[in-house]
Amino acid sequence: MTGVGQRRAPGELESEVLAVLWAAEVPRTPSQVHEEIDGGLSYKTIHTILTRLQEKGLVRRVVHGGRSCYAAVKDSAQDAADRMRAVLESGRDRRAILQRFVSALRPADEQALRALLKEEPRE
Amino acid sequence: VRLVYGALLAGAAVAPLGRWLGARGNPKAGAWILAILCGVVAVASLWGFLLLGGSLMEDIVGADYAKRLEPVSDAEGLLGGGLLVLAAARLALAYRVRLRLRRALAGVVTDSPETLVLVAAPEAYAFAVPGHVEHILVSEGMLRVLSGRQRRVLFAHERAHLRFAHHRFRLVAQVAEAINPLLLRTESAMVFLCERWADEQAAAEVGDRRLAASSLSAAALAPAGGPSGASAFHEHEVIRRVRALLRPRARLGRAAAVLAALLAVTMLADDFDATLDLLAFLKAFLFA
Repeated sequence: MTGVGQRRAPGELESEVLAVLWAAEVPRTPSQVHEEIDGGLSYKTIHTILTRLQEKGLVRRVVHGGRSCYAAVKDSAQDAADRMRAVLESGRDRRAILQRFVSALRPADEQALRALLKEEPRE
Repeated sequence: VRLVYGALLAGAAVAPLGRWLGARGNPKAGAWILAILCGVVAVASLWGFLLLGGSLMEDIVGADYAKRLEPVSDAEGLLGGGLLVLAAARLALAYRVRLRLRRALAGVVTDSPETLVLVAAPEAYAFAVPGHVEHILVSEGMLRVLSGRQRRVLFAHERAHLRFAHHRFRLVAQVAEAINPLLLRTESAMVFLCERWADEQAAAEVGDRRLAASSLSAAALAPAGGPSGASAFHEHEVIRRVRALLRPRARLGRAAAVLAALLAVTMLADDFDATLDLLAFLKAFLFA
């Protein structure tokens, strides 16, 4: 059921590019980032976004394996992780209000979910 | 005054109706219908409690005027008053919890100028944080279990929560549930509708329902942070969301809207009759 996607909302592309660098174990070249982002975008667009993220101090340029790459700057994110852990482990009531993308599965649900995905033919 | 009970009891039909709407193809319409019903039930219930509790006035002002009213026993009056106090207490508690969470989250996002706040945590989680400045909070663990295309679904989903102010829908359901105890699990029905709404929006933005389903599944199969809120009695909501994306069902028919409108009118009419009684009583009392 693959159709034509809509144009990305402003700021969305920046989020996606930043996310690629965060998820990567090692720094990535602009063309690697370009590959991982869903199609329809020019290499130049990705490059522009990387430069913008660098100006904001969210990524930095590094040389990795002899190539010019970008890496995510995670300095302030460690504090945020500790504070978020405190929120998640706090009272049940507070946790209940948070709207998660998805909540954790029980083992039986896991099997049901895998089965559901398997029986659905890929298009 | 007995008709007041109609409004209270009709509330019991709201949550199942919400769940039924959630399984249909148009969660946006479902969320709106449920929100309007919640608003009507909340107002009608509150007014009903007031009418019942207020009937205790009869004892204070004397029986002469009270004869014009439908009879209400003292027990019913006390019940109405008690429910009113209970509603106030539940609302106050919900408000306090909300305030504490808001403060805690403000400490995490710390006025970040960026909408996206990434958190260096191995657990997989993602939240939309509404407020004066809106944020989307995503953990490193969540980014790692998703592919580049799946991440686009995640961002679109969280952005939909903010764009359509889903926290307000949830608030309406929460307040209604606090006021009328028979609206049990209405808030969770509303949460489910909003999740489905955001799923549909994300699927439309990426133009691929299967990709949206795979993104949900990958996130659900990753270890999440904090204890899980999964209920042992119901099929997990993620499975229902994935199924809805893979096998879209018929869109919401006109029948559902008519049903909801009938329910709302019934509740209002019940209270309206009781209100006329009260007005007649007050008139007799004031102009005697």
